[in-house]
Amino acid sequence: MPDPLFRRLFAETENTAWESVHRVRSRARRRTSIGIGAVGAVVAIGLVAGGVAIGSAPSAPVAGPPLPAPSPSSPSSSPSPLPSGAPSPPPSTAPPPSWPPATPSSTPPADVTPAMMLQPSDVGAGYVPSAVGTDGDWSAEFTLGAIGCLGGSKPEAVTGRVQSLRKGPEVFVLQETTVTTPGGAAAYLADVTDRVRRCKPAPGQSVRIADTDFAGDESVLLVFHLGAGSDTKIVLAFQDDLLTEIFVKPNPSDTAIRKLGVRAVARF
Amino acid sequence: MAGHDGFEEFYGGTRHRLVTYLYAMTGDRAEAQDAAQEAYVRAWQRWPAVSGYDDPEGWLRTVAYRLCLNQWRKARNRLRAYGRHGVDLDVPPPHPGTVALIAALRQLPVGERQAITLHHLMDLPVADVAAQTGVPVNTVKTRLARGRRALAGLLDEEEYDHA
Repeated sequence: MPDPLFRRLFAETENTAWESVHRVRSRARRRTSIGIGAVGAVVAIGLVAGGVAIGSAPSAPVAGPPLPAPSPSSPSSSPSPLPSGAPSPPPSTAPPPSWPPATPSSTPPADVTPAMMLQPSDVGAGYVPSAVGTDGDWSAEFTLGAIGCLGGSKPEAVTGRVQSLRKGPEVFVLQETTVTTPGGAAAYLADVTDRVRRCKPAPGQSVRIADTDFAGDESVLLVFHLGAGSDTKIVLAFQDDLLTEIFVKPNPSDTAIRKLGVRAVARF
Repeated sequence: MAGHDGFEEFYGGTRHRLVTYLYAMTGDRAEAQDAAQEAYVRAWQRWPAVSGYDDPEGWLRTVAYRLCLNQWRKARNRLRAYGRHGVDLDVPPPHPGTVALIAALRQLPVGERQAITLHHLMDLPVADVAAQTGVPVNTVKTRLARGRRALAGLLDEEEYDHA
């Protein structure tokens, strides 16, 4: 029985109109059947994509350099050169020239345009923009929460965009880019880093910071071990008040996902 | 359906607690219901695994609360809901006491709000609150003490005492 102070809350939610269990099942099946939802593994909650992207997708897929094949994670801080002449700064140097040219840093963009997101050519051959996106259960916040780290939330967003570039039901790159309130992106990365360092996940699970400062003003590569052999990686990077978050499936090498972080910031 | 035994009972047996928890945490009943409903879809998708967890309801709470935190999803769904239904005039306004409690909860830091809600609303023992929120037991105790003090100050003293 809840504390008396809260009984009224329970009473007020008592007559909530719920979907029938049949409707829940049919929604879940429909989503699964189009390949965006279920993984079904014990640790799948940080790995799944579902839902619909916010904002329009880039117009046409362009063939480009493939992502390196997934490989065991390596916490090296030295990204290897990008294929096909894409810009790649050495570690701990200024970010690459922006394309399209960045707006002055004192004037935050009013919108996150499709051109400011990763393009198919940044990701690899065969990836195309997809109307199928994400509901956020791939995000660092979700995954941190799922393994029992301290909860937090992304900074208040002025505007933003979510997109999905897909090559197949289980081969995709998800990205969310937001314009935060001034200083929000920097504070958020510091907060995430702090929470990761203090996190004590359940036995068999872990999260670590595999690399930092490889893209933008600041960046971080989070590597999650979710148990039962499942790993996932997420890059968070920001420049000025533009914050981007990237998730790749299947699980990429550290080098590959770092490169995507570099390319994503270059699009700002 | 094979592999989904027990889901219907889980759905029927936990949804009231879930939506009340989310309502207390977010202060937005519509958002709480929307996130709860979505969380059950995800639970069904993963039910063979989720049903084997020690605490499937804890998993569900975590998923649903994370959904609430997703600001983009929230904004998008509100727009969709508005487009579908407009403003629902049939939902009665909340009781003034509920409004006061929700407003008071929202003034608490998230950690205190979560501790208070999980312990006093969801009836979880302190140790379970600690496990679920990933903080030490003593931190939970501190948050509960601070949260209760703050709530007492924010709410009408008489109502708090009598409640």
